[in-house]
Amino acid sequence: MSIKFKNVSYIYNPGSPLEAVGLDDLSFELEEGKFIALVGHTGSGKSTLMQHFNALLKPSSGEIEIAGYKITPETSNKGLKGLRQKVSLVFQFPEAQLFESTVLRDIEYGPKNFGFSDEEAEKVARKWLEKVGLKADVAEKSPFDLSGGQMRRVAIAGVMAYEPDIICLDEPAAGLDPQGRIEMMELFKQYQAEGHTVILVTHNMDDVADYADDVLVMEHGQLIKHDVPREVFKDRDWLFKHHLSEPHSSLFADKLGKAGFAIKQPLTINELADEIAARLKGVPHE
Amino acid sequence: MKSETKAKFGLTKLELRDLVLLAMVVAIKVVLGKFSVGNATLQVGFGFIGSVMLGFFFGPWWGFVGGALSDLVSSAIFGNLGGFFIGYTLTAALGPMIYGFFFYKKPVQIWRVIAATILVTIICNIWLNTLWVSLMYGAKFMAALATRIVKEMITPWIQMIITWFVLQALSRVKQSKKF
Repeated sequence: MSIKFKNVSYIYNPGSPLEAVGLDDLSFELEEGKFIALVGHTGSGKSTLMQHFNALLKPSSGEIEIAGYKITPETSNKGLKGLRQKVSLVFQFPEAQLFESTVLRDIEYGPKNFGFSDEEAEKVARKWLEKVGLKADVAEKSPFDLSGGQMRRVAIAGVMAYEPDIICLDEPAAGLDPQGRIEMMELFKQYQAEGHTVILVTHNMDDVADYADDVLVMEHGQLIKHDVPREVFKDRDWLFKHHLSEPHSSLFADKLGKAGFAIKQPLTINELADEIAARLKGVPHE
Repeated sequence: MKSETKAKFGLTKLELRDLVLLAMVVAIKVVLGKFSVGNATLQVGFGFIGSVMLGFFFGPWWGFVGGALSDLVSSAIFGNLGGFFIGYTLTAALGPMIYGFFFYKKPVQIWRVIAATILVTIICNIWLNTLWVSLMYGAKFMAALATRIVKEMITPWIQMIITWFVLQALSRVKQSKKF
């Protein structure tokens, strides 16, 4: 199965003075089971696109096929619950959505909403509490008494507990400490490796280089590139022209090149190290 | 509320932090006032939730002030159906005040929810608002009442249920470190 967008456009407040184009004639096909990055500068339509994945927004024109559902401008809100169980969104700063009296109940809220029994919900909630890296003793605490990073984890556990086929994450690691950031990204990578689709909205090109299989690049509501990370980061001038940054390793390689130490453009730190080692000794590093 | 200094008229002195919170709750009340649920025959607005919050967090006197301000802010931004009339400002102030007498620094109890909702319904919605309608449109009080009474007999019960759950949630927040 795949996620298909056919000529999807979205217009905010159509017919009013506040009319604005959010998405402009988007067509693409994403393979399920991949790690997909959605990049583009602020206001390029990333969030608008993300909200189309589970029909929080419906296209003004065009058609979306996702998780066995077909979404058109005429799609009604009835019957979308099944879609939302399969396609989940983690919004930016998801800790804002915590509300229950205990951490455990907050994580159980999603599963229960999708028809899990009390025992099942508690089981998956405890499992995901652990998976996101929290200790079992926070389960009975109020979510409002946790630290920011812990709250973020609880919120993400709440969205992942019912194990959606497709999970869309909007800057899930924003504002986390470096260690927490890596843990979170590894969690999503592992989730994808287990057979789910992960769509990551991000400004962090290192994460794109490290984790993504496929990249969608947005600008002014249009899809300007859909390719693998290596191809997206290939053309430095193109990136610059479209206000995109490069992974740090690629920037560093550029500096080395300017200093007369030319190496092949690497995407990740490991590749950079390999390239340098190869230039120095002709042997790859471990 | 950190500061408890009593000033005139039973108004406690608000720290700047609390004043900003008051402004936020006023804003919440204005926004909630734009929402309603129900079908074509019966619409229940959510503005009363903002009134409950004002009364619960700030008590009757600041609740009164907040309620009046929320009506002025709402009129300024969204306008009033049928034009501005100071009577409705008074009604909007009295609601949070009554809730404040019942909920401010009091345990959340069923009888308090029922009593507060009934008092607000009778004083604000049935008596005063009907009076304002009859004054503005030159109708007889009883005639104005007849058009409103059915709704005012149904909505309080829905409001009580919602208020009960809102108060549970608010007390949780009040007990957390965030507050």
